[in-house]
Amino acid sequence: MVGPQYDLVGNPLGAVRATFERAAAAAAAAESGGNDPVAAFRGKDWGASDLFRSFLFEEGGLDKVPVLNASSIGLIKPNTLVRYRGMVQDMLGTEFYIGAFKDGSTWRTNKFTDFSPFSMPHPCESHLWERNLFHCVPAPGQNAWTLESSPGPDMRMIADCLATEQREKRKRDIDNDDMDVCLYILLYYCNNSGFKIYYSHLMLCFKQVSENDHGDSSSFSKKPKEDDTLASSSSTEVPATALEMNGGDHHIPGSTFSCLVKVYDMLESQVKLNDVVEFIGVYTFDPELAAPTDNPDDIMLDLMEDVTAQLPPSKVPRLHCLVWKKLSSHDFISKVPVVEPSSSLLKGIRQSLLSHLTLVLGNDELAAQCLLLHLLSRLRNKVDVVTVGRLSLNFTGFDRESASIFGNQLHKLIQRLVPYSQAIPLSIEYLNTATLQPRKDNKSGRLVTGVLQLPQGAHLTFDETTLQTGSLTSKGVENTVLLKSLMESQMVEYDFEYYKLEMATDVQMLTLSEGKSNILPSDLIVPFRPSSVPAVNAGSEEFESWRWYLATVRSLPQSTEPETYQMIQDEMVSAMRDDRSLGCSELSRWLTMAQIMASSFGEKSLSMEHWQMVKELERLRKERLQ
Amino acid sequence: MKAPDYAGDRALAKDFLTNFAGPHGEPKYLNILQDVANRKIRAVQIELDDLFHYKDVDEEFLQRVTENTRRYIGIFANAIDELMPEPTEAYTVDEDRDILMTQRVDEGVDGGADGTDPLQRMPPEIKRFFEVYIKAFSKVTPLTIRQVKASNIGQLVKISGIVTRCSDVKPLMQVAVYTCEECGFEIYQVKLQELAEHVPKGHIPRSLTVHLRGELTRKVAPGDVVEMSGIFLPMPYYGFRAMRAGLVADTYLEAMSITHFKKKYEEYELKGDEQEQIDRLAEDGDIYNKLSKSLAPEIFGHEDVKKALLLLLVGAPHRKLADGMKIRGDLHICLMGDPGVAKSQLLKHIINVAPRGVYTTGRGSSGVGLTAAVQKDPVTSEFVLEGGALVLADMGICAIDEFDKMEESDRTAIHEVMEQQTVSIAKAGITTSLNARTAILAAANPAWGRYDMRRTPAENINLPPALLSRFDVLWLILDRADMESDLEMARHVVHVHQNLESPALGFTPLEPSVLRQALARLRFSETVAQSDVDEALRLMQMSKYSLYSDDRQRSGLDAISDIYPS
Repeated sequence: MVGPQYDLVGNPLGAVRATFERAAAAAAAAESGGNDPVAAFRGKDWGASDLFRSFLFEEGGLDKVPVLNASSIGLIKPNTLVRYRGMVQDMLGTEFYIGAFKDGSTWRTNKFTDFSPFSMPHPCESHLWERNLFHCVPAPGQNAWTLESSPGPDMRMIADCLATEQREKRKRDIDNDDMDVCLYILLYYCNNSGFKIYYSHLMLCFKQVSENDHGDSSSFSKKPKEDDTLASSSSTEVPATALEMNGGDHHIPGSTFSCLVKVYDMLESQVKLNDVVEFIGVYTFDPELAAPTDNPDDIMLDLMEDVTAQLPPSKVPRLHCLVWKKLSSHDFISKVPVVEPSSSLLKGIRQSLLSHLTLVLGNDELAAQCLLLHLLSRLRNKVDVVTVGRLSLNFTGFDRESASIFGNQLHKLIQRLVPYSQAIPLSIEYLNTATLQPRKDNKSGRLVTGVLQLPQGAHLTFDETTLQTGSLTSKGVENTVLLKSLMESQMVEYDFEYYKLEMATDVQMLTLSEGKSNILPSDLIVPFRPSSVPAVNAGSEEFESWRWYLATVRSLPQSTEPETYQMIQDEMVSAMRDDRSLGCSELSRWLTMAQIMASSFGEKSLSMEHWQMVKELERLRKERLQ
Repeated sequence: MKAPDYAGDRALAKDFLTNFAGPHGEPKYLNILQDVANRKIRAVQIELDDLFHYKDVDEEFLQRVTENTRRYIGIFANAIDELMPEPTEAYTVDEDRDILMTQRVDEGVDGGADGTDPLQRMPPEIKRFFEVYIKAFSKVTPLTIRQVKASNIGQLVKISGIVTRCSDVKPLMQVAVYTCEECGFEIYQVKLQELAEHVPKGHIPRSLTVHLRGELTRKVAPGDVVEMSGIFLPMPYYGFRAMRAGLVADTYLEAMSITHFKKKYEEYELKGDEQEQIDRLAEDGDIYNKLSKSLAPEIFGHEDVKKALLLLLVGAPHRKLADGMKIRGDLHICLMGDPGVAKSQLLKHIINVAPRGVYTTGRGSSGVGLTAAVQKDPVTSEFVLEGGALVLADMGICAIDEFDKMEESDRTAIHEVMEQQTVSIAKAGITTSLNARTAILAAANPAWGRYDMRRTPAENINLPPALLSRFDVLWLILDRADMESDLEMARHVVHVHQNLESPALGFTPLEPSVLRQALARLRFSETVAQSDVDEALRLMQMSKYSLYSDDRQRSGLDAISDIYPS
């Protein structure tokens, strides 16, 4: 153990190097022969990641690590520990770097950094190691409430404290300052609710404020406040919506905050494309190396040029990952009840959520029941071409007017319930112009994202009432094929120019249409019959409990008695005798609905009671269809 | 680790080049060197296979060559320098290079530097008229791009991939001489991307830069699927890039040999383990059932249909009789059935496993249609022929969905394809006949949407009799109303939900890739042995028996699964 002499947040690389040098010395001592002591460290942790893991998760260090995002980046000093949450949008392959070199008689490491503080003697003994590069973006359609859970120290508070301190400092030694623009590097402690947070080397770059006391509201402290209102308003999405990234431009626009994450010692299977991951690691930035290259034309012609050159560090920060964790919807829930998810607790929340859904749907209880099942559905598995567990929903009977009234309310509601959601108005123009399919640009070596590059568990609401008759271009046809295959088999084909690769997805899809949608063939078609205008009235506490409910029920395991399955099987056979039009897909849907129904009451096993409930739902639904 | 004895290895290399005997006992490499001396060729390709078979070469030497390939190329080049014979044929000497060389040699003599100062000596590369390549073992399975790691640096690796980008050929300065008017070397950069089947689920393909030099330049184009052997090397940095890159090293593959993948499955070569797998299959017996059940295993039931489809996939050899009459070997099958009986899925699956297959619908949106079209090139205003699905599926399978909704013009063309196996074009001054030796797999819906039991089969089938008679097998797949199949369907659905997997088939279905290899072996009889042809014929026989017996069993009870052989 290195112990507390290293500030793991302020100087993580110091701790990395100290552990390395210790481990290298120990290995050298143990190695009596002429073998290289460092060779064994390739692709392995020598104790650095363990050190950080225990600091973060056992000693409560996690709360002290600032979150790297668009508003905090100016406030965070390079080479400090940060955390970043994002979706793996592109995998840029491996990067080979000089992982260790011998400086005189000492071995030094360059792991977890882009730059070595020690100059490398030339020539010297060195080892080439490798790391994985991920291009990460904020998860498309990420809803604002998920930010509430994003912990870490409050950067605004630091900024405010700093401004105060700054003013006092300036009063003390006013004479030795450059009066125009100044750069301060401060080291200070701040006390917050009896909790000591330590920050070292906070770098701030801001405009010189005037000498009087009113000057404290400097330009930078204003900006985060705007971000704050943005984050807390329920109807606004995080700025990085997919639509903004779909401009066909693979250069990330300023509003989307992407990050180039360098991951070490990771097994290939551990992180996949479109996973949402929290990375904790070292943020590096060197203005000298970040300077734009003087000859961009040369780069375009040269195939050797690696793709990272298109992600200038000035726009895309680098993060050298020490610890990472895949995020599920549970990780976004800020207040988790301490009690075990008991059946009675879940039942209570189910009832309150169901009545709220009924209100939003203008007192249509059948529609609300179906919507609840839809929101709880998840892809349990894919058995060859058959997907098990999904339940896409099509509300019919909408016209433009009712779609704008109920549709908007519905989408706002969904935004506050699920981590990622998007509303897509289907129109001829949209189908003909939108880039739905992610595509590899072999010229730039980058994966150009499309609307359908989505994290697992994303929710899409399609409004088909905006569709009018018209002709589709070839792109429009391609897009409808993509949407249909997403709907039918939870697959999105990514275009790699010379071949296509199918990527598995788990996306919930809700369609609002006038008649049954044929472009988006849903599993469950429900004619919508509201009897009143939507009424919305729910507090944030209720939303918190509903979110927790949805996340919990969706992750409940299922284990049903074989006897129950036997009974259901018999019921299916007799149902088929009564109705010859029943096919595999209907039977499969019934079973899916019954299983979700059971889960929605917090039950781990399906009973005939739930099966009957679903049959009753089906009966009511069929009545409406006639 | 003891230092390698490079001088000894050079002597060994020389010995190998001098004494290695080719398949007919000829001195293989000396012959190559003679050709080089005569300026017929430039490339000297040293095959590891040959080194492996040479008596004096031990494993350690081979290992040194594969792990430190670059140095050994130099060692072999030096050995070749010493062995280079005098030209035996006259060659044109008026090359700039020769003039330059003569001039240089003269200068060297004039300067009085008699080779004592190595720095004054001319680098050997300048005088050489050959390039040395070391070719990896042909038997070794190529690595995928993501398997190439830092530990492979400096080694000879063999990889497979698809070429996605090619640079222009650039002159490469290999030896810098102040008076360098001409370098003579060219460098060609290529981006190689992983093949789709090598990409793990949920990942995206990796790429690798490949440098091709000298003889290998311009051998590949984007879209080519190739196998390359080469040396995996870090890129030396210079100038600004060195500063920008910091501690990062770009890597590339210096290509040593390129093999284009066989595009035609007639030339499909089985690799060691694939051959083994198929042999094992054959030994297990019941290969016929296994193969047929492995077709679309996710589609429940329809075992007899699948058997027929297997026969379609396998096909039979084309025969040309002594009197010039051709007997077509392809089987044409038409699946007819109620909507929602997974006809389209069956078709797509067949195309997926077929070595060569095209899927299209009768209402195909493309202007080219099914057969072929004459199009006007917008740039040159010339008429060009564009092959439709049938032409593209030549020597393969063409699956046509919604056959009943096909356009009349395509329908007539199909007559010809099904019998003559050609497509004739007489349009816009172009009269030609394109090959379309394809098996047709069609799917059609009954005339009134659903099959009507009260009507005769002819009334139900919405196709002209002339076209219908072209099909060898017409199969009706109907939603049968019987208790047993209802129960089976319910059991299937429940099983899938309960266990999140398909019900056991009594065996593990063959992977599409294995299936494809088995089919390639069965289908293309031109290069397979007599025993394989017999095997294919035997299978066909067996299948017919089994189909007939099935048929007879059911014919009394149920007229629906009747087959109408024409």
